[in-house]
Amino acid sequence: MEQKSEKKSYGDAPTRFRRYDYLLPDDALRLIFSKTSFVDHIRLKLVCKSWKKLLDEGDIRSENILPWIMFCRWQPVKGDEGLVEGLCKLYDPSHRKTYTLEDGITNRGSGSKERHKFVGAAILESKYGWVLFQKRTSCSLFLYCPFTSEVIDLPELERPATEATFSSNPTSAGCLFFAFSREWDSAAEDTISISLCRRGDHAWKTIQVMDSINGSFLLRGVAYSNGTFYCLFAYGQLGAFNVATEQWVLLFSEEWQSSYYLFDSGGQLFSVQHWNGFRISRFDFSSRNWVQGASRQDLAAFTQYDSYSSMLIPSVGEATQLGGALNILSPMDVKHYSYRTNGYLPLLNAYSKTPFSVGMSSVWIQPPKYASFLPPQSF
Amino acid sequence: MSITTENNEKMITLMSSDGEEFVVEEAVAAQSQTIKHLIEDGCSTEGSIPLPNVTGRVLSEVIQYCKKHSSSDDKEEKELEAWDAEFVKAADDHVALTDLMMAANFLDIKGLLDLVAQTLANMITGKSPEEVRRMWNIKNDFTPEEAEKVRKENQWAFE
Repeated sequence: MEQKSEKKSYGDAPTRFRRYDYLLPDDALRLIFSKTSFVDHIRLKLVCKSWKKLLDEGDIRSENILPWIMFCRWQPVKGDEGLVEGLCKLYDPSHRKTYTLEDGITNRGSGSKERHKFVGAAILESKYGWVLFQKRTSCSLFLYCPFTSEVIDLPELERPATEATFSSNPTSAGCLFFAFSREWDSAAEDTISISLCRRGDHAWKTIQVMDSINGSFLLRGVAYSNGTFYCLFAYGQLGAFNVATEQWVLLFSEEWQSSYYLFDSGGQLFSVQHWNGFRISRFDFSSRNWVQGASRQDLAAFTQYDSYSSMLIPSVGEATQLGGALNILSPMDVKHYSYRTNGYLPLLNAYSKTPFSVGMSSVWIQPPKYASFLPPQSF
Repeated sequence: MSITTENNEKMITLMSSDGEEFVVEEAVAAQSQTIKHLIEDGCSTEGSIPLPNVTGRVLSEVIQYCKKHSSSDDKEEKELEAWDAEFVKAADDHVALTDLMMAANFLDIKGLLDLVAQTLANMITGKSPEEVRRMWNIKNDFTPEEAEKVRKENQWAFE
């Protein structure tokens, strides 16, 4: 019996318990950590080495799932074009707190030189805590992670991407990058091409997938799910590009309703229709049709006015009250549109302290799920 | 056989590390997965179940919690929440809560674990590493250089 209770007990904790007055067993610490935020995890790593080790192991999820907002602006310093002045902030809705990452002339990390490419770059996508930028003048794409200030450069494209996305965390070996380009110049040359590259590739592989298309094929969103990149067009048309076979198919080619944003949630695709208010629809793969559904209280969609970057999260925990709503990041506030009442909900507390300011770009950014999101440092 | 009335309920005795004995209904004690398994394995037939990791003071609090939560099926969820809030408030400080957390961990009582973990998590939220160390009397085993390196990686989180 003694043995039985030992098994359930703290393992080698009693010895450590004697040395420090109150040291909790690892399981109990993990549970406490899971109930604190990602920012607390960063601070708690500095308590002692054994805590840092626990937090770096990567299996502790924070229960804070609401998307953060990144605000940024980079511009050349007047009078000294060699320098870049940056302003970059992160807003944490779970704790209604703003963190300033950069304010002033940047000389951190690789220094001011690296920040040059941020000047005039547009945000194309935000996923897994990383923001994908494109500098149209040079067709260069790069990724930025504000949480760690890491930057990843991608090869240059032949022509600018209309939209781009990626399949997984950009630091993972298997991450695929996907760019969609449409040539506008003349009617004869109105074509759609798709470019792919993997982490570490020196060039994109570009494939022309459609030519002589009509004007309704305006891209409204891209998403990745199970080895396929999907493209949503203005009236609900849906194209699918299979990475393995490099085949492009139009899964839905009718002109249906005005559609925006493409979300992937557990292998299912969703989009938003705007006709007498907003509606969310799910794509039914077996009948190859959009199914305009109920108000989907189980899902909270996050979109923004100025780009088609979007995310969909389950409305559990702190996101419960955002379920069945389209949460729109606007220039000066976050609007919550309810499909059920067909109108806007009152402003919610979580985003009430968002530091909006004129002239800054803003984007939803996924809070890292795991404390080990940060590159583990070895001592 | 009826097990619904208190008189017919099977009772067991729990013994704390400092020798205090508590006689409780089996259904109350069985909220602890550890005790439940001990009962199932026939360990309670000898008379009492010794709990070498839990003092009498902490055990009486744990039993209070288990009693409330075993008779709560028909109660309003709101009332139970309010009771829980009072319960952790009465535990007073992080030292008492830490004792409770270790007992809940050893006894494997999920509800109590979650409740106390949440309370402790709220206590360390927003605190500096130094303040957290002081709470639990933890020794800082980083060299100044190592600490600076960790801090530098995410300077923004410390401001």
